[in-house]
Amino acid sequence: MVVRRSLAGALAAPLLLLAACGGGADSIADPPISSAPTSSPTKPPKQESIESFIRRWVNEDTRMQNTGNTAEFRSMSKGCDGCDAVADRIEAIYKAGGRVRTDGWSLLRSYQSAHHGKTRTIELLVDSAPTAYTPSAGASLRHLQGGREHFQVRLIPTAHSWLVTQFVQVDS
Amino acid sequence: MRFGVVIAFLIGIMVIAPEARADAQSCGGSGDLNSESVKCVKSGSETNDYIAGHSEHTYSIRPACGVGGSALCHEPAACNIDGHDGSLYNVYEDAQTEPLPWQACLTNAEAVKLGALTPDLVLRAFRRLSWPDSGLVVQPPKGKTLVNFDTNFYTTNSDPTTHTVTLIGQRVTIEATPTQYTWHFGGDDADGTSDLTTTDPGAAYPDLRVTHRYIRVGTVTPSVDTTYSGRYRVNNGPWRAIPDTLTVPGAAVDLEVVSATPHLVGY
Repeated sequence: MVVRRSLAGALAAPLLLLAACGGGADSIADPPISSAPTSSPTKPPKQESIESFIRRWVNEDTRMQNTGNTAEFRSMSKGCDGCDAVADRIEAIYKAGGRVRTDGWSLLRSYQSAHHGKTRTIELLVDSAPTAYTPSAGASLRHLQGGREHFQVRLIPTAHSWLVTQFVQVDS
Repeated sequence: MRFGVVIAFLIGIMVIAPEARADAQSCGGSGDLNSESVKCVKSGSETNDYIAGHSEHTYSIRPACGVGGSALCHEPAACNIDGHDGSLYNVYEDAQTEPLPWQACLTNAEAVKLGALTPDLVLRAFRRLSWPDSGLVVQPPKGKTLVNFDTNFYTTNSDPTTHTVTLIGQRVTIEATPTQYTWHFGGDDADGTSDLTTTDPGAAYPDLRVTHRYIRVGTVTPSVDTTYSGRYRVNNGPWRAIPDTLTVPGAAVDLEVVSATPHLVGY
């Protein structure tokens, strides 16, 4: 644990240094966000694949944490208590003058574990990068160590994409 | 000296190697802001392990609400863990009113073993309880009707019936509402219309809503079966739908179908 904390601190230090130098969010490259499927005037847009949606959602999660802008992340879910809880937490941090720096998740593996009607259950095995954040203006810096984690999302289809309806962590 | 360099090198690897932070996080960890914010879900075996490891406490479980939130619960939340379908349960320690910060994804059998009041248990109680059959009223009255004539049928059994029972030590109110009626008009009509299913209980003359025209004279034994939809609530909590219906057969009544010959009785 001591090693982990030291490591998290070591990893977070350059991030903070950059932030302190005025680089702020601009100095940390935002993760790429894939654009929405383009549509031609004559052909209806294709249904976005689950894989593409998950990548976009994971990227949006990271972008939300680094910017405090939760609108797009919220728009990708419906009735999802877990999604709202994360977005509420990020909003509360930025509203209080805090900020978050993380490289977010690297997807190690994702697979569909269940399929009921139109609902798909997707397991997400991720390697989470360390997170450094200040919960409010002037508060001391906090570190979350990251590591391998197992999450699960439930998806329902929309006309051209998907919505997250459940987001939980699985104890494994 | 050389040994010291090797040791320092190995320590350096241990400190900078990514694996140093790559241990799998259990839900108790704080890997990131996602894991700090979302609910943790444990499987049945992990839940049992947790309970076994905290033998100084007692635990109870209650279904977590999936649709509508706890105030307007319509159905328990479905889950799937380790490839098993189940329902999500909140876990309560001792007499705490707030559940533990994680939820258990349990199959019906696992939930029953842990003493949960599951929808399946309520469904069994719903089936075991006695619900009223529908008394059939036929018009014209007195057990006689005419051939090729609209005979009227109805029942007055249309209101919900409730029973309160104790299941797993909890007070459960089960309410059954007639939602469908299957009318058996009896006989062996050649027109194939001797059965009819409606959501309407029918009505007394002159409001003819459920009628049947017999095409042969003889004795028939019509009846009406009642299909109930149920809902339940625990300790006056929010209502939850019972995920199945129950059909109660009705008692048959004797009905004589006769023909009428016109007689001139005056002028």
